[in-house]
Amino acid sequence: MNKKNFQITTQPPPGTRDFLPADAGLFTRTADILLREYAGWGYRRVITPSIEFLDVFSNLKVNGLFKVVDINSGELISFRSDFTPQIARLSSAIMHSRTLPFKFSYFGPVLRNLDPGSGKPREIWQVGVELIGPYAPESDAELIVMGIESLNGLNFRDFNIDVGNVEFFRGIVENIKENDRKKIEECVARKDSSGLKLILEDMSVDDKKKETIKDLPLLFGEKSIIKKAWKMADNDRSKRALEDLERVLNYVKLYKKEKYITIDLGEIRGLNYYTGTIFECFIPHIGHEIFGGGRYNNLTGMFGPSCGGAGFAVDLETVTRHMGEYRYPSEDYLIANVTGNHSFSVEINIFLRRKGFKVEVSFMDYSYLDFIEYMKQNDIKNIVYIFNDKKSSKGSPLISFKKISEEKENIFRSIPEFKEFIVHMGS
Amino acid sequence: MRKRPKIAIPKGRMLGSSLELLRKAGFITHPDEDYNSRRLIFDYEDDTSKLLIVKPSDVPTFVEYGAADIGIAGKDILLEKHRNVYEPLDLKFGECRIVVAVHGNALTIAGDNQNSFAIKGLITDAGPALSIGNGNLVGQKTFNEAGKGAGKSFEIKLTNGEGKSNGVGINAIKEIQERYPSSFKGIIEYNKKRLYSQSNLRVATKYVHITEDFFRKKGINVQIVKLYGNIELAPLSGLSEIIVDLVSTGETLRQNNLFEIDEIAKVTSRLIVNRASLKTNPKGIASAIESLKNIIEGN
Repeated sequence: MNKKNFQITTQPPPGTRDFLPADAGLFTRTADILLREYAGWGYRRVITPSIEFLDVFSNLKVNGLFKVVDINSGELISFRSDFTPQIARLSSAIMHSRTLPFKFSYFGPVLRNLDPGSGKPREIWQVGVELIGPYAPESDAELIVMGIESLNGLNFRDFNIDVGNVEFFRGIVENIKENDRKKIEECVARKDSSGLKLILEDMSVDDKKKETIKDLPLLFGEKSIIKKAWKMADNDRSKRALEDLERVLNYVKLYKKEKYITIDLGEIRGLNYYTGTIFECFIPHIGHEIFGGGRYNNLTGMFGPSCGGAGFAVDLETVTRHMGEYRYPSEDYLIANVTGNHSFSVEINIFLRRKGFKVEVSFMDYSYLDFIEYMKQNDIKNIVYIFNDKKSSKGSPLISFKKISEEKENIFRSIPEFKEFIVHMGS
Repeated sequence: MRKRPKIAIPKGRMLGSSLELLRKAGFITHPDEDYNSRRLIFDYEDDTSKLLIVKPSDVPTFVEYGAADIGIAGKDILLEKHRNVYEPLDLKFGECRIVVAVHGNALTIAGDNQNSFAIKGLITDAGPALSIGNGNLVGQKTFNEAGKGAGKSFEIKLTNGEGKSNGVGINAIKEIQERYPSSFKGIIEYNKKRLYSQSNLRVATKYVHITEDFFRKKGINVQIVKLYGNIELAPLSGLSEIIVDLVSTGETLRQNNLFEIDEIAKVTSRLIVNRASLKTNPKGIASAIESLKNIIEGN
């Protein structure tokens, strides 16, 4: 670094950001609401380390990880890029000593080393849950219902959950050579019907199978698509997938949440660790999902005994950006004392805090309007302004109380008078 | 009722065909002139869609982020930068190819003295088709055949008092291309092999990722120079030995004495769809795809 010209940039590395109190408050409060919702279904929060051995994240491309070499062991270590494998690791570690199921929730950032020019964040804040133990499709359905309820709790109305099952696709292409299967996978993932038609021409696959594969990209829509899928299911694996999907939908229906559901059996993104049901939540005109997840029965097996697992993660930033008119009530106070008589501020501060309000005493040498501006920026709703009465030089200072959303200003001549007003305002 | 879909289409080369297609499919109703102004958003009340006219390489970006529900983008742009969008339909227009090309001078080899040079080629399966001994090529030449059969090479020696910079070599190659296609193929094959075995070959292109990918798969180490336009200038000015560029008729290559040595990909326009638009309005998007598909296949 050039010491003569010592000035560090004010900006964090590309793809990361600072959260000012208003944003950070919104963020943590939203996370709280989600976590509380999940706690209501029996999920309890765990905290996992922010670094892991690189191999834990083998589901992601290595160049997408932020990694360092452990000085002691020489092993590669990566910053957390995904909570799910971490929780699978953790679950494997405790599987012998604790009783299944494990119902865990989490909240924190994941780091992904993406091209910063893409405009996508490299630090993504997630709230999510993992359910380790059951294999039943109904447990997938419960996760979907929880996801829907948590969005309802944040006043989301227009969204839908797209449900699929990766085993359907896997069953269809099971007996195709791996190289060809990869090519098919690529086209189906992009719903590239034209490309699919082209590559199938050169493949030694029987014509009936080709026709089935050609239909895969268009296997999305309402529930009726499952009927079509049954006709395409020429193997047990795909049939089991459809049975599972129907069980998921039936269970969601018991909670009367079926209106949110769409089906896409051609959806095979994130195929790497999912082994069954997958689901993603979309809101109109936002290109990426706001939450997504699915079943991953083999993931715990990477670390030890294998057992059922499923979960989902909510992208907190997308949620807070699009939750619209949701406002958290704020009843904060600012005490601005321009008299120099600190006993007033202190007594009022103690009183208001005991009442359960958030209060801050200002030590800035501001004018009344400057205080108001400061309050607006920091989402503080009430001002207690203590000043000397200009008409009479004698006597105690006056106390002015005002909600900044209202015109009316209340003037009090003494602290008891003020206290009484506040007490009655609440009732 | 849902809002009208927003469609991003590329300005420039493919604008006309895009508008025509959308008009046939009933998304827009006005004639081309109405979409040809400095405005970038066209939101006519009698159209069933809103049009965004953007730079071709930006179409996938608009669609990926949901600023547009669907878009029309060249496959070259989709190959160059992976975007999280669906591409359900080949629209079949805007056909062209991404190719590797080399300047004619690179196909000739300096000879024994300043005024002589040679063109070498592989003898292809088609046999020693060349009978250049007839004296049709410019300048003096001798034709040496190393032996009949595939895998062997031939060499045409050319001399010219004014040296090869005069374009004699290029003219000779052009003549061979026209009159002896199988020998021309042999020349290209020979030089391709020669160039690709060079270490640290320099390639100028605007398709950095496509180029990187292509040569990596071939196991060839190249140094890529990113340019934003007029790629054909690079070999003329000595910036790079070869280029990777989009060609439709090949006229630009011809005019600049460039010769195609490899094809990387065939390119057409694709319909692309935002993921959330498809998921949140599956019926609408499916029927839009269907109606466009019918028009294309009806052609």
